[in-house]
Amino acid sequence: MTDCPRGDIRDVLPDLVHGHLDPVQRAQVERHVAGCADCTAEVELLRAMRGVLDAGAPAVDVGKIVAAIRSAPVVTVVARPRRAFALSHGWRAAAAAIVISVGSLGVLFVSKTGTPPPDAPAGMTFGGGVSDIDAQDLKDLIGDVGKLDAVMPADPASLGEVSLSQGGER
Amino acid sequence: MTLAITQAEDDATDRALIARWRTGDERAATALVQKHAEAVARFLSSLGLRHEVEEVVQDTFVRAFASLDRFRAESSLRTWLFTIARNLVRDRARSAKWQRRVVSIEEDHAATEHDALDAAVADETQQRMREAVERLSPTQKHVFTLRVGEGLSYKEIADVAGTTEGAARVHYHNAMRSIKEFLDD
Repeated sequence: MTDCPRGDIRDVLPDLVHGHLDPVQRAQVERHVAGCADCTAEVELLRAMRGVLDAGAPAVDVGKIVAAIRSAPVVTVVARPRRAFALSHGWRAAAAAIVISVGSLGVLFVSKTGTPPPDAPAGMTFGGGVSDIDAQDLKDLIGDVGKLDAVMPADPASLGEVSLSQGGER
Repeated sequence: MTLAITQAEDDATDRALIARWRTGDERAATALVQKHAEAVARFLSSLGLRHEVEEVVQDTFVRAFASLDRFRAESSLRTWLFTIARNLVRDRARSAKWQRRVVSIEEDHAATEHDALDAAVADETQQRMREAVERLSPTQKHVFTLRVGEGLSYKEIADVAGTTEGAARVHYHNAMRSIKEFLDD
């Protein structure tokens, strides 16, 4: 079996066999094949080969596959803006409470000692900033810090609900 | 009169079935599986899979339908399914368990071919053709199956096989030459 010198025709013979050529191209190729013994033989070979490949296909159970598709878990993304806001707000409220508490303690510490931290910028003065908090106030604040829940609840959204009702933002 | 179904018409049918599936028509899923499952099985078979074919075909469709929203119809559905199937095979090949199974497949592969040849006594020509395909290199066999068995274009073969159109074309023509030479002997 020899090859036709028309490589462009041989290139599309599988498309002819599968009916994938548009009508114009198909007519051109069929016209060539009709007058070319090599291409006629190649088309016959391709048709036979396609049959051999099809016959070798493993059996598949369509019903079983469709059942598997139906029983597969469906992952659905549902927009829940209110919950998303509450979650974000809850975390932010908790972080703000911690920052404010720690910051207050720092100010009180400086007020009490009047000593700047070692790494404070030159020229910055300390002391005398907060004069209306005494030792009892400081003790109470430290006690309140101990009451803060440092571990976020399993459902952060619930924290958001609490902070909203306490903060009175809505 | 031969009915010529062009690739565009075929793709349009798939898109219509996908649209029906998205609106909740489960019969569309059955139609899509019926239309493509055997081709996916043949494709997996051309990759050298034997006993796992049915399992991987099922996984391919489950994964495809789970992510059907991401199918943009830039390629044909069948090409997309082949790509998913190839990725599944590649992922599984990484597991030690799968590799052991592949080894066992290769060990009994020759016996399977021998049994198939013995059993298919009805047509000696078909046996010769089957043998001609089996003698191709793995890449040639893969490309030849996609081109002749499935009718994929060189571009689609390049997408599925992770190669270039030019390389796919060369592999196809080399495969054809090898097959002709074997059949002429």
